[in-house]
Parts: sequence; structure tokens; C-alpha cells
Amino acid sequence: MAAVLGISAHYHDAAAALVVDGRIVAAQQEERLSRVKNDPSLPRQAIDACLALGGLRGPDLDRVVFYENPYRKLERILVGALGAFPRGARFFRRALRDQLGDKLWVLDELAAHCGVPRARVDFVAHHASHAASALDTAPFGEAVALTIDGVGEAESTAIWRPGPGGPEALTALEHPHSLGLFYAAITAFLGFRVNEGEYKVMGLAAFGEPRFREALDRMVTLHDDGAFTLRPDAFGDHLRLDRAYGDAMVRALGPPRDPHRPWDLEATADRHYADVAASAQDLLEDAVLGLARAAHRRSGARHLVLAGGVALNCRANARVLAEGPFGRVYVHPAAGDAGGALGAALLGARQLGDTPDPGSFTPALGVRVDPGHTAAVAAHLGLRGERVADPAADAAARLAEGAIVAWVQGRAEWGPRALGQRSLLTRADDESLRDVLNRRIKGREPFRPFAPAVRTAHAAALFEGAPNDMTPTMTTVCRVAGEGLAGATHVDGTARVQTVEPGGALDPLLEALERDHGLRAVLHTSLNAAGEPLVARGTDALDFFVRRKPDVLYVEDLRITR
Amino acid sequence: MRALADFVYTLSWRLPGRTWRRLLAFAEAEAESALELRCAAALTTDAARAARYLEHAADEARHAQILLRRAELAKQAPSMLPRRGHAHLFARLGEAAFLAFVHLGERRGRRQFEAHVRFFEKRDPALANALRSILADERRHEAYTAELLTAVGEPRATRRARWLDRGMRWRRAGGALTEPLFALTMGLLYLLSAPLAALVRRGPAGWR
Repeated sequence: MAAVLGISAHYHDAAAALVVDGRIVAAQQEERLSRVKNDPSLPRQAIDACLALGGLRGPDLDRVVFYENPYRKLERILVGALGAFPRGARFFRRALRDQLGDKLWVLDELAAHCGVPRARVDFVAHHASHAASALDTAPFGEAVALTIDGVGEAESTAIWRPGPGGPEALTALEHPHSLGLFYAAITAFLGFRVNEGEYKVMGLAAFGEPRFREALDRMVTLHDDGAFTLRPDAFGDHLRLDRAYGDAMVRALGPPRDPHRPWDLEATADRHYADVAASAQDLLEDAVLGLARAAHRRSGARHLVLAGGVALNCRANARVLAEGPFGRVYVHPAAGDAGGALGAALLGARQLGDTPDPGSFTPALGVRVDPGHTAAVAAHLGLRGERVADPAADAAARLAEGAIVAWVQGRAEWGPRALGQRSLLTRADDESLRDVLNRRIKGREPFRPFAPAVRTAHAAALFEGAPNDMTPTMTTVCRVAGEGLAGATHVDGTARVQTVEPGGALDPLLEALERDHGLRAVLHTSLNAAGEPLVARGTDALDFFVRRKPDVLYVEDLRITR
Repeated sequence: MRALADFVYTLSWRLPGRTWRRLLAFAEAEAESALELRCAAALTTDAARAARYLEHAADEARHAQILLRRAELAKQAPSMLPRRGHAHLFARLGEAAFLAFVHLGERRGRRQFEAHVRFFEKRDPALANALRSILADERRHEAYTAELLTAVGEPRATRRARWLDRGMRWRRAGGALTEPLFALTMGLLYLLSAPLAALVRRGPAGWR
């Protein structure tokens, strides 16, 4: 019986998660509270929020668990810098400044912030955290875990089986051979921010042809046993401070894209980059499929769970389910480093004798909103706020009229996807609304896809292969088979569908939309503008509403208009 | 002394690449301020003040965009705001000292923008106009923060904020001075560690 706080921090996507007596009580990403996208700083606000949600104070914690071994990570970084002598001089300097500045003292900082003795602060391995986050929240047992990311302490990829004390490693691949770094290099090559633009590469890929696949195969070798090798001169690896791709990639693919130039997929130049994205996506999917087959061979497990940043590639996940050897596939919704905080908390709970309860997991683990306070702030901003008896029916009526609705209900989502708690919604059958949403409201690239949300009961009629274990958290794509989804269908005929169970955050709205207006789906995207974190609190929603101007904002039963 | 200050000020804009760098630095400061104010809006329990902070944040975000565009024009190439964190001032200081800190910053900003407008009035009227539009907002921000500070009424808040402001500037200046020393020391350490590089062996690729 223990209260355990898990923490990820200092690289990207800092977060805190609280597990009490094996039950998942709260999980919160720092970026949602600090308003800095992918905020890597020590998650002080997220820690405080989790403790408040759990009704605890810092000293009540039995254990604080950091999601990776900071000392082993330092060793890998320094050895890497020395191994690259003399090229690694700048990297060595920067790494030491970062490490000596704060990263090396993270456990002491956590003890000080939480007000617990240093002896109660511990760490677990990076990929073990990822594996635990997936194994201990999956809706099924008998699974093997596959964790794939940029790099943890030294590992980039690992296969795990469940054990009584937590995940047990079967095998691993080490840095610099990393699918996360491969995709990061392509992301940078295409002019997007690394650790943020990977979704854009995936969306862009559908517009291209994989005609550079052979060139990329010369940079990344996929082996028959599922392992892969990256050619060093094609990748900037960790020594390059300015870019993640190497000279060999530039020689093979041409000059990298100017990040400032607006996208025009009708133009030859940008079609070239779409083809690069398509080729990289094609290679990544084959590599992940090879890893999944290797995990099956080594474990004999019937089902697969995935975590690590690469597991957020929903097109790859769809292929693993369709073509891989597993009956069921589940992806932890916060598969990136944030999810490591929850995995660390779950591992800590096991170490203290608790058994994690997967049934306690829901993606709605973050902060709540206060509609009363939000209404008062809205009034001071000169906005109209009214309490409505049935916000779902009211919003459905607005949606049917073609409005763009900002929707804030309950506790904030865990992970990068809006899942109905902090969402932007509009009709799914109108392509023109999609473009308004992309350009005017979100301010993002024209090729970015939107997702449809449908009640689970309708999923099979509208999408091939839905529902499955990934569709509730939008970690896969399905081919669109039904009508009325033009605005939410990507150029390749797929959609990153969210299936909504009875009682889900969007269920009352979808029910009202169908009952009153004959619409079975809604176009659904995250409540944020390009480059900003997802909205968390009422004032964040008002800030978005004032600046980005959707037609109406609902905060619980509060309807806000101008 | 005044002549020397004017000379240094002129030089600070005239050195090659300085104009766009300074404009970009201003844009960064405005963007950082917008983040602080959004967090303050979320943390204050007073709805009226939350609304003021949100309005102020929207102004700062707009200023950042104006300055970024001007930096691009001066550089004749696109610029990008680096993504940085902020100091979490509201959480660290409490509301009264936060307000005092923001007020001091706005006052300093207003004075600087007055000087910038004067400097560019004849040299670059378009830039002067852009800066003048920001200056009008800075004056408004200076006034409303003074008003709220009086309403919140914590006499020692201004002193705390002033000390924090000095401390932050001192650390920035100290960082600028010690950075070359740190770089030199680390360079030497790297050289001394060079023999260890011979011991580093990469393991074979493939499953471990």
C-alpha cells in the first residue's frame, strides 16, 4: 500500500504521474501547465497538480521514481563524445554544461521539491519505464512489450516480457542504431522541429511516392532478425548540434528543405519532399513490422503492447496489427517520454509490493476545469457566458449548423492526442470546414489530417478494422469505408479514427448529433494552435478562444460566445 | 557621459547583423512574457486580474510577431523564435511581487522603446512605426500594472521584485562573462581526456 510519484524530465516532454495502492490516480504533462510545448524542465507544476488531484502532500509519498538512470545516461554521452574525438568537442562542452547544470542533480531536486528524504527518491531504466507504461495499462494480458524511441540510457529499442517485479528485458538494440533518430533526421531534413514535427512527416507521407526508398535503404539496413543498422555518415547523430541528418543523406536526397518556406504540394520542389517523407515512412513501417515479428519469435506471446516515441506512428501501428503475427495490439496513449513518468510510478509501486490495476487507467488523468471561475474571467473579457442544461445537445446543434466548437470537459487528457476532453470539433462531412480549421483556427500546414470520432457501435460500418484496442486512443489509422467523412479522410483514404465507448467524453455529444441531426461522426482535433501545447485549464481555453476565434466554447455546461 | 551613452547606443544598432539580432531578442522577450502572463492568468484566483493578464498576454504575443517580422526584414531572410521556457515568476514570487516585476519590466520596456522610436524615426520610419505601436501598448501595460499593484497593496512587493530583477540581470551578465571561460576549460578537459578516446570501442550492431 504505497503512494508513488513517477517523473520524466530534462530531455523532452516532462511529466508527473501518481499511483496510489496500485491505482493510477493522476498524470499530467508539464507543457500543459507551463504553456511551453514539449517543456522538458523539472515538472514542478505537474507534480503539484498530481498531488492535489490525489489529495496528498509531498511528504505523504512513499517513493518518487525518475524514469531513467541519469548516471548511465551521462556515461553514454561522455563516452560518445570521447569516441568521436576530436569532432565531439562542442558536444562535450554542451553535454557537460547541461549535465552539471541540472540533469545530474535531478534526484536531489525532486527530493527538495517534494519534501521527501533523498533516500525515497530512486530511478528505473528508461525503456523499462516505457514497457511498464504499456504492459500495466493494456486491456489484455499475455503480451510482449516492444519499446522503440530515440535513445534511453543506451538502448534505442527493446523487447520485454511481463514479470512479477515488472517488465523483464529479452533483448535490445543500442544507440546510435535507432528508428527514433532516423525519423528525427528526416523530420529535420524536411524543415520541421525534431520531437514535434514527426506527426507532420507522417501526414505529409501520404502525399508522396516512396521513390527514395532505395536511397534510404543504403542508409538504414533492415536485417532478417528484425534488427537494423544506421550508416553513421547519413545521420548527424548526437554530436551534431545543428541538425540530425548527415552529409550522405544530403548527397542522396538533395538539399534539406527551407523550414520557413510555405508548403505548396502542387509545386515540384515540395512534391520532392513529400516523396522523401513517403520513403521514410515506408522504411519505418517495414522496420517496426520486422521488430514486431522479432518480438513474437522471441516471446511467443499472443498479443503486443507498444511504447516509446516511435509507437506514436499510427500508420506503422496499423500495419503491425494488419500484417504482424499478433492477435491484439495496444499502444500506450502517452507513448513518448511523458509516458515514462507513469511507467516509473507503476514500477515503483511494484517494488513496494503493490500490483498495478490496469482497470484504473483512463487517458483523462489531468487537471480539472472550474466553469464558475472561467465564466467570471470570460465576463471580464467581455465574452458572453451562459449555463446550458444540455451542453451536448446544444453543441450538436451548433455543429450541425457548421460551427467550429471548442470543447472542454472533465479532466485533461494524458498523451499528445485530444480524446474528447480538450477538443476542437466540426462537421466531418464538409471539406471546406477542414480547411478553415487548418488555416484560420489552428494555423498549421495544409496537409495535416484531422480525425473523426464515432461511437464504437458505428465503427465497423464506417471504417475497416475498427474498433480495435488502439482506436479509443487514436494510435492507429483505419481505411474509411462509410459515407459522410470527407472532411476527416486523409488523402490516402485512411483516418485516425477515435472510437468512443458509452460514457466517454464525446459520447453524449455524438449521441445528440445522431439523434437530432442524423450525423454519426464528428471531425475532431486537439484544442491548441500550431506550436502550442493542448489547452488544460479554463483560462487556457479562454486565451485560445480570444486569439484563434472558434465559433463557440463549451467549458463543462458553460457556453461562451462573443 | 551622455555622448558616450549615445555613441554606444548607436553602435549597438549599427554593428553588422545587430539590428535583426536585437529585434529577434525583443521578440523572444515578448514571447516569454506572454507565457508568464498566461500562467499568471491560470494561477490567480481573481477573475478580473486573470482577464487583464490574458489581454496583456495577447498583446505580448502580437508584439513578438511584429518584431519577428521586422527582424526578418532586417535580416532579409526568415527568422524563427527559439522555443524556450520561462521563469515561472507567478509561482515563485506570488501575485504582488509578480505584478511588481511585470510593472518594472514594462517601465523599462517603455523607456527603451521610446529611445528606439527616436533612433529609428528618421533612419527607418517603417520600423519606427512598428515600434511606436508597441510603445502605446507598453504605456498601457505600465499603467494597469501600477493600478493593480496599488490594489493588491503589498508594500514590500516592489522591493522583492527589484531584487529579483537585479539578480536575474546579474546572472545574465555573469553567464556572458563566464561562458568563454567555461568553453576554454571544457576544451582543455576534452584535450586531456583524448587518450581515453582510444579506449572507447563501439559494440557490434544488432541484438544485444
